Parts: sequence; structure tokens; C-alpha cells
Amino acid sequence: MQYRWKTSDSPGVAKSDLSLFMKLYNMWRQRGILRLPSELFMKDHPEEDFPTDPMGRKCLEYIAGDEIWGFSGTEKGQAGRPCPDINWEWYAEPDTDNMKASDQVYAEIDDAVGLYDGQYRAGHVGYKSSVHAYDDGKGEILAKRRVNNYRDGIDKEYSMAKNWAWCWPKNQRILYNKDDCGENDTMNPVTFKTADNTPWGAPSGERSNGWPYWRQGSTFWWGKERTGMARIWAQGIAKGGGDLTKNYDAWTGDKPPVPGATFRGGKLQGPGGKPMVGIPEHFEPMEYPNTALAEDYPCYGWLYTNRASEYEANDKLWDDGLVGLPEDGYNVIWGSFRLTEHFHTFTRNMPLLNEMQPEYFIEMHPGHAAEVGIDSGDYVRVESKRGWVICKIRATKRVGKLKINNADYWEIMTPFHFGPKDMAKGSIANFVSIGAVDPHAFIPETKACMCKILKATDAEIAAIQEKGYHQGVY
Amino acid sequence: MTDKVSRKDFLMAAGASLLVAPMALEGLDRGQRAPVQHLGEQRAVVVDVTRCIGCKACQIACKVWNKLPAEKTEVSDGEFTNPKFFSPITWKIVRFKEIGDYDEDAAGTGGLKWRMLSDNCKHCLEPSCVSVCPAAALWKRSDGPVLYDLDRCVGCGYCTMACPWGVPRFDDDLHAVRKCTMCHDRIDQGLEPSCVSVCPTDSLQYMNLEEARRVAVDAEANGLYTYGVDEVGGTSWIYISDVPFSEFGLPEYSTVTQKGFESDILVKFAGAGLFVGGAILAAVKLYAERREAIMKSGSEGGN
Repeated sequence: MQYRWKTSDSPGVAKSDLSLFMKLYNMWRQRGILRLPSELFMKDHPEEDFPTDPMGRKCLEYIAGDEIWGFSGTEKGQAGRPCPDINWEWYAEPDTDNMKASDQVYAEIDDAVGLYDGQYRAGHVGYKSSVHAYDDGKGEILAKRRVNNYRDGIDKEYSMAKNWAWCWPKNQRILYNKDDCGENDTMNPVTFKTADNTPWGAPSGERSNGWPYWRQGSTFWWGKERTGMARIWAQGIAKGGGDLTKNYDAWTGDKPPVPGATFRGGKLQGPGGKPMVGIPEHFEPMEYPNTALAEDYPCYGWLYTNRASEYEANDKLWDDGLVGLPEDGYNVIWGSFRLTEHFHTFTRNMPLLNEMQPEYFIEMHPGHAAEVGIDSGDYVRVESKRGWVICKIRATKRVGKLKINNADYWEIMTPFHFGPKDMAKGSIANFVSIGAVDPHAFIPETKACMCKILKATDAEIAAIQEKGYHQGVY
Repeated sequence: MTDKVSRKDFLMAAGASLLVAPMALEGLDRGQRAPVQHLGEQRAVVVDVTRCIGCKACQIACKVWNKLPAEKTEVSDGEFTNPKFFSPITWKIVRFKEIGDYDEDAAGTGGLKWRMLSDNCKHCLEPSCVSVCPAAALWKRSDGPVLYDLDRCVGCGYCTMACPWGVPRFDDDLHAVRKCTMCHDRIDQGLEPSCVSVCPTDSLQYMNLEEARRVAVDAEANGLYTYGVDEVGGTSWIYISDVPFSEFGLPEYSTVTQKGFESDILVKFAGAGLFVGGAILAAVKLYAERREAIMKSGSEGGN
């Protein structure tokens, strides 16, 4: 990734000098004139003992300062050791007060990547082992860095200045990282392989330890070794739980409910010794499919009475009548996800990616689609209390019927990458999702809500076929 | 004899050369037409469906290395397969397939399986597209790839019909046929094909043909399905899967090679064609004679 400033749009089809060099590069590559160091390396050094990744391929370790970690390193890295929850005592927010806006962005990205990738986990050293996008010590954006020296002999041999402009060395790991891991897992890009080497799509019982997976008919991600989230839910609800709406005094679980929380003097304390208030936010959405269950075990979104100031945003949703209840017909569970082919909303101008995922769709079970009276490729109207979108469906058994409090609920899933502009058009998924926020971090709850599915009318189909999108808010 | 060639002579000579030219080209050793570095060493790719995670990196890598443009596609079914069919600019497709259902087996041994198959030209050991090509534009290189010469292609499209999987596709702009080349330009450089080089789970593996066939036989012994060991006389791309390949729409073929199949048909149909043509001519002649006779008798009767 190169850090570049854009001043204005180029006139007409004028292209940068980079496009010319790309053409030359491709030509040389195709004819074998130019060889990549990675291709030459294994040829030049076949005899040397290099570490291998879990697939048995030789790989070079990434070296950052005096800290070395690789795919297979067990002495210092995360690999081969149990990965408990994040150690919050070691964690410190990046000091972004005196930074420029661009630096702030990169520092926050760097911090988030470190958090997500387990850089602060126990068993690891107490500082970030590597930098991804922003160097805290020197205060520079790594994409802007221009250092043309060689780090070691290998760099010199292949004329690679790896400190030139470089960031995101672990992008791939983020894609394939997991929430929690068990004893036998190693931190590598392919740990989603199961013990019996079956692909991860199938919910077979022989999954490797700790791998959470979605089980039809269950209400949670569930592994052999329960994940953090599943543990909380199981202990909080299965054991009765008490009135968790006020505080955590009634917590009956053996372990603290959130990562980093501790029992001190018989009372729960939050990460960093802060008092614990509220109940675990991430675990149930505000729009819950079963009202009876939601009243018995209310999540933060239901704490309308006895409210604190943090809940204001959510209370406003109730006041404005933007919360759909199953009694009003909003009885289909709506969930959003990401496609491997697209990155956020940025990649919808890339032809090769749009070829693979060309337009917005929702996934429905074939049985559900038959109930609505449609099939793959037909249009539906997805409607919630907030808004509506028209889109195509894909009939698939990857989604299905969930059993919640002895009642059946259809589930639909949808990617959120699409919008009215660019090459791959589509309605905006978040016109349907709810604006509830997590009262601590104010992260919007755009991943789960309740909706209605209706067959699209002829006028709606004509509109979306003309424009490529059709949507609205109430 | 004058130096001038009469129109009739010229046309006859041209016709004769047209007839003879394919035969002359047939005699060429096609394996020698391209620089080959691995003579006597057939290369192959093993595609292990059980390891594929459906990231489609191979599909993109194919287009990137071969500089193929993107197609206009749309959502039409429940699977993530896109584009749906091979085309002159789509040489590789990752076919997604859901097999089974969650409800069938709650115990977890069966249930829903989601499998992906990285599909492209199989590079048959005895390719039927090569044997039908009248212009000798296609040939099987001695180290594996089935290659083609765009300049030599006359655009007859026989190979598109002869291929058991419909891999070669006719390009209207080039007026020629295009398909996967097994990245022969990369193989010449000692690299593995582009799709193989990007596979994150080693679902695609590049190896010797003998080794690949051994891997497939081992997999078969472990109860897995294989495709390409025996099918149409063997292919350079060998597939291993835990579900039948008919699920992915790959037809079941016998071990009989398809090469020479078309010439058998030609021989049979040529005879049949001659017979039918003769019969038609005879019928025309009989009809003409009869008509003449009737006309003659009619005119006589008129008088």
C-alpha cells in the first residue's frame, strides 16, 4: 500500500506514470525477465533450514526489532500455547491527543489490529510485538516511511528495502483470525481446518478444540471448548442469572462475564478495576425475536426504566417507535456479514471483484423462499421499522430456521458492502438495521435486527432494474 | 504450355492444397512447436476439494496473470459461483455446491456440506480438442499443457464441441478459441501455475504426473472420489473430493479416451453421407426422367 495524496481528479483518461510501469512490470514478469525475490529465494536457498508454515511450506519469519515471531515459532509467539483473553492491564489506549488527524487514524488502526490479533494476550510480552500501520515510538505512518537500507543479508541479496513503505503485514491473519482458541490450536492462517481435515463449512462434531461454529437449532456459537461469549450466555441464563439488569452482584458464573473483569472482595470489577455496570452488551440485540424471553432476560436495549445517560440513544429508538417487535410482524431474524470478495464498501470499483459478487442480495432458506413464493434471483422487499430495501435473494441452506424459546424463526443473512453508486450497485443494507448503540463504546448494532420479508411488487422490480437499487427510510 | 495459369487450373490446385494441407500439418510433431524445458516429465496439478475454502484466489490469480478482463455477471442462484460458465475471458471457475441438509442428520456426521471445486481445462493426456482441430492450432505439449495458437486458429469451433467439459470458448472479437493454458509461460520459467501459487490451503498442488496419480490412488483407497485418473484416458488435472463429482456437474466418463472418437464418427457418417447423397441424386434423376416421360406422354396425348 502506498500512501498518496490526491489533489484533484485526473483530466479525462490521463493515467499516472505508475500505470506505465505496471505494464512494463507485467510484460517482464510474463516473459521471465523479472523474477520476484520470493520466487528466487527458495531456489537459491533450498538446503537451508527455514521454518515451515502449518502446510509444510518454507517461509521467512517476519522480523521487527528484536522480537521475532513466525508461523511456527513456539518459544515467543502465540503459536502452540493456550490463548486466554486479552490482558487489559497491559493494554493502553494510543495517545492521540496531539496527533494530526491522519496520524490518529493510523494509530487507531494499528491499535485495533494489535488488539484483534491477540498482541496483548497473556503469555505474550507486555508490549506490542510488532507494528502494523503506525510506529508509536517514532510517531510515523509506516506507509509514508521512506527508509532504503537493508535490514539483513537476505534483504541485501535480493535488494529489498523492507523498511521502505510497509504496513499491514498481518492482513491475512485478520481475515482468518478467530475469537478464541483452544489448547491445540496454533495461530496461523489455516487453523480453521478441522482435526479431521474437513472444511470449515460443515458443522461436524470433530472440530478442533475451541473453534466456535454456528449450529442450526442452537442459539449460539458453540465449540467443544466454549468460547468466551458462549460461556457467559450459558452461565448467565442456564443458572437463572438473577436480575442482571441492575448490576453484576447477582452474577452466578464461576468466571467473570467479560474479558479482563475480576472478582475482588466478592464483587465483580471491570477491566482495569473500573466498576462494572450494565450487562454484557454484545450478547443479545435490542430487537429480540421473542418478547417473553427479552422481558425475562433483558439486554441493555430493553432497560428503558431506571435508565442511565448512556442509554439515551437507545431510549430514543423506543420513543420514536423505531423498534420492531415480533408481535408487529417483524419476525424474521436479519443478520449482516462480510463477503470475502469485498472489503467494506471500497472495492466496488474493482472489476474482478465485482465479477464475483456483482450485486446486493439476501440469503434465504429455500423453505422460507417457498413460503414467500419466490426463488433464487427473484426480488423481495426487506422491511423493518426503520426502512426498507428491494433486493435479490439467494436460496441457500446455509441459513435456516432457529428455535428460540420453543418458537421457530426464519433467519436471513445479507452482505453490507453495497450502495447506490459505483460499479456494483445495490440497496444499502443498513437502511434496515437498527441504530442501537453499545452504551460503553457507542458501537452501533448493525449486525442483527428483526425484519419482514415481502414479495416485491412489479413497480418495485421495475424500479430496481432501472436504477440498480431501490430503498427508503421511514 | 503458356505461363499463364488458367482460372480452372488455379481453382483446382487451390482446392487440392486445401484438402492436403491438414494432412501435412497433422504430420508435424506438435510437441516441438514450443520451447519445452521439462521434456519427458509430465507435470500435473492435484485439486483437493476437501481442502478448498472457497476464497476464489485462484480465479482472480488466473485473470491477473493472463490479463483477462472481468465479465458482467449477476446474482442468479444460491451459490457463490460467478461467472457461471467458461468464456474466452474466464478460464477458471470456482464451483460452489451445497450438499445435504442440516436436518438430515443432527448427529453431525452428515449434515450440510459446502464444497468448492476449482474448475478449468483438465489438460487431458489425449485431448479430443487437439485431435479434432483441422488447422493444428491446438497441441498437447510434452510436459502437460494443452496449448493453442491464436494465429493458426481458423475459428471453426470444433474443439468447443469436442471437449467433454466445454472448456474452449469461441472469442468473437479474435475469431479464435481461448482457454486455460496451465500457465505455460510460468512453467517455462520454472514456476508453478498462477492459481496454484496463490492457494492458501494447498488445495491446489503442482507436481509430477506420476506422483499426482499416486496421490489420487491413495485418496481413492481412503474412500475419497477422484476425477481425472481414468476419465477420458486420464488428465493432467486430477481432482480429489469427499463428495461425488456429479454434484459439481462434472459428467461421468468411462476410461475410454475420447481421442479418435470423432474420426470414427466421420468414417461412419462419411459412408452414410455418401449413401444418402447417392440416394438423393438417384431420386432426383429418377424424378427428372419420370417427369420428362410424363411431359412427353402428355404432349403426345395432346396431339
